[in-house]
Amino acid sequence: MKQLQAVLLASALAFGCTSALAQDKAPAPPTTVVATLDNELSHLEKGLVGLAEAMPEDKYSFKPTQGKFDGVLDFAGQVKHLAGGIAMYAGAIQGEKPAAEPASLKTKAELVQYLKDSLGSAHKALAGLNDQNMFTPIPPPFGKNPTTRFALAVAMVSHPNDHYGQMVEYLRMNGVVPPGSK
Amino acid sequence: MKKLAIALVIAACCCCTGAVIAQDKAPAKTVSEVYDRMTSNAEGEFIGAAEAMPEEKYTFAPSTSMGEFKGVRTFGQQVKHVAAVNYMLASAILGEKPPVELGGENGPDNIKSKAEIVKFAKDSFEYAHKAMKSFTDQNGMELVQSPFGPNKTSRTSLAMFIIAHPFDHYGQMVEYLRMNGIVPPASRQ
Repeated sequence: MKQLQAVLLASALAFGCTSALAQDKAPAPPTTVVATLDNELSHLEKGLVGLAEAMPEDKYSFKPTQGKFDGVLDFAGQVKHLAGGIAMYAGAIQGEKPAAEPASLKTKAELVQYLKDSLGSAHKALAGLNDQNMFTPIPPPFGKNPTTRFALAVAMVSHPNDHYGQMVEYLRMNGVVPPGSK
Repeated sequence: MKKLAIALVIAACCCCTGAVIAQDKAPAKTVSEVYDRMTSNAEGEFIGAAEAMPEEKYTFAPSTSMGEFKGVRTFGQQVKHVAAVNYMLASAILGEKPPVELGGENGPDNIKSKAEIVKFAKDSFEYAHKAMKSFTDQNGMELVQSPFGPNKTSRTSLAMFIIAHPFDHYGQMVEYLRMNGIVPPASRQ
């Protein structure tokens, strides 16, 4: 088992696994489903903000070109999409309009701050969940079918991992080992 | 707002917004049901990507000349890893031994061809569904032995990881596909 832990830690691609391992250090496991989600959000936050901070500012406009990459987001676009998506989910869970996008989103500092603020609103949205409102049908932020605050919360915490995986590759293409993979 | 929603839907890399739209039935009413449906979303994206890569590219990993890629997993190894971890997590939720020999979190050595790897992955998601359907509001927060490390963790925490973990690797596999000239199925318009 020790070997497995070492492999997991050393594994260049095991961001998700490090988040599971991190539970070993937690003083006590979360005792509610919502606290479990919030715990996962904190791991995610550490990973995403870590990537956004690790990418040099002059590489924020990077997107891959060798292959079929027409129309993909550049690194700044990934951060912006992530932050905007998280804000939208957080707003829908709270029954509010998502926080307005900052007027200026050009520099690395501005984009990282937007990401941090959106993740902050995600924590706030989770804090508002309770047994009474979790499964009440609410209008969806996308599409037509009613959804629930809890389903949105799970999507909000799991979807960004897709972008985490993409951003890991963007970093590596620029010679940067992701902080979570060191 | 509309513009952002459209941007989210058409963004080439955006996978899960489609997953939320795809819920064309009444919303799930329990934690177990939500997690089971989310597993289907992860499964759809992940298996689609696995099937889209040609067999001869299953051994592809970005070369060190393309960046800092020393020691990273090949495409096939990514698929096998997610499948093996699915089995480990699901068996911990169910409190039983995995029904297949895993050989650790990288999966068994004897599973090699694309067909074998894809089947291993599909079977792992089927087993994950069994685990997702098994827990209740009563026992979801009960602590069980974690398959990683000495600590105990709740069934719902393991379940959350079954949903989140494949997306991390999906995001990487999307890049591997594009590096080989293939647009991921979920990103095709």
